[in-house]
Amino acid sequence: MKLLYSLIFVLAIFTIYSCKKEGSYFPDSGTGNKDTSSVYSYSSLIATPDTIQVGQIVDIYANATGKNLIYTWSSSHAEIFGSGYHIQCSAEPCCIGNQKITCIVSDGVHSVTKYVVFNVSF
Amino acid sequence: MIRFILSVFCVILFSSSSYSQCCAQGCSMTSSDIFDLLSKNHLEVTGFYKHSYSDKYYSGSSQYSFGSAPLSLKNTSFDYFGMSIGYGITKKLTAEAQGGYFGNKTQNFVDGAWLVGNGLSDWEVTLKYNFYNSKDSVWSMTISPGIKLPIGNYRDYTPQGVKLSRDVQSGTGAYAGIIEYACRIKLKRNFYIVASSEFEYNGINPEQYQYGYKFTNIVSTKLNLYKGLSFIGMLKHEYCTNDYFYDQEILASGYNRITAIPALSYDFGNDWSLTAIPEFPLYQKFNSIQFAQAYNVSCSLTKDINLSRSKLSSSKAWHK
Repeated sequence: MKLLYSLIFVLAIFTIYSCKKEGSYFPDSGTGNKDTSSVYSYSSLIATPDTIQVGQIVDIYANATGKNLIYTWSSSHAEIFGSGYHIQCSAEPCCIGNQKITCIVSDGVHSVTKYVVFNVSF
Repeated sequence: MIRFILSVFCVILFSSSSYSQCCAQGCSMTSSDIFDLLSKNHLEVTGFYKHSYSDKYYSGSSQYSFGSAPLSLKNTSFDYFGMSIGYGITKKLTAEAQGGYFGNKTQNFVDGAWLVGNGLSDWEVTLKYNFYNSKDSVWSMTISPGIKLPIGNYRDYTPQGVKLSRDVQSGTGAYAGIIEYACRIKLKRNFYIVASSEFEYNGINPEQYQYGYKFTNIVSTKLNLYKGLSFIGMLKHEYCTNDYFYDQEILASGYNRITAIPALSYDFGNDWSLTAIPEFPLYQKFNSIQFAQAYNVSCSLTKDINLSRSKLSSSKAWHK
């Protein structure tokens, strides 16, 4: 029984230490948060281009101003890289069609949600 | 002959109506003993590790290249640390729970970008009932209904507030129902063939995503090589239907795959068993274009504990 407990313990330690830190990395992103004014405003969410092929890149910008802005990004099915006011998206073959990207911008007092759609084809 | 026809009928019946979890790399232990029915009051604890690696796109059954697309996948992999606990309620009924932790569920892209997710997986709970044993002990059959509980996280975000893609989430967010039929045929003394069919129905998760139905057929046998060392040969066929998102069929999902599993098992000490299980796809055919699995490797360590024996020994100790 001691051997069994030891085994479970070793497995748990191995699991914890062998895992990479969760997250994402994209060579061209690294754009941080952009606080340009103390007045909160979230004017637009723009995708460029709005149509791509599988494996190509869409740049998405959240145009917001305010202090200590927090950007929370999610997608219906696409992959998101980077963080902050500018992210980049792509899609796998399983995501052919319209992809919805949602961005919530919050300054701790205000929180506004916007979404943008881009199209993925082969 | 009637028993044989009955067995074949059951396998075909489950084959035609059953189906899997496709796009997401769902994970469960490939058991070295599909029939694995525990004796009454026996507890079986298995720890296992699985590594999966994929590095090629397939269109149908042929390799496919996206050329220079910067965010096409270069490779994907995951490490899975799992545990399975089985208990023999009666000599004909075994309960089993299985789950684990996904470490390094990784997507690497052509231009160097990557996504990594970690977290608890969904858990699977099954009951295995031995409903038929022939008088001559040649035929034995079990049925195993089960359920998958969506314990794993399907909405995991990075610390920077970006939601990870569905393929690196550790859970599905959906309940699933499973039913398995297994038949063991004793051909000679100490030589068995086990055939099983499993159907997995995946529900719709709160994000309106539904993984395809999965149907798995396995034929396996075990040969004793030397003392505690055994060779386990398995052939697995998986058929997975398309996923759905908001009632729309995902065309690039669903597949047919045949996998060869040549495993080695070593029994040692007091009811311990160590098993190494490589899995190599022999044939894969995908709907549209998908990223195909290159190999899986898993190893497991199993300990069988006779609880009635330990109760007996503890009561003896008490009386002393």
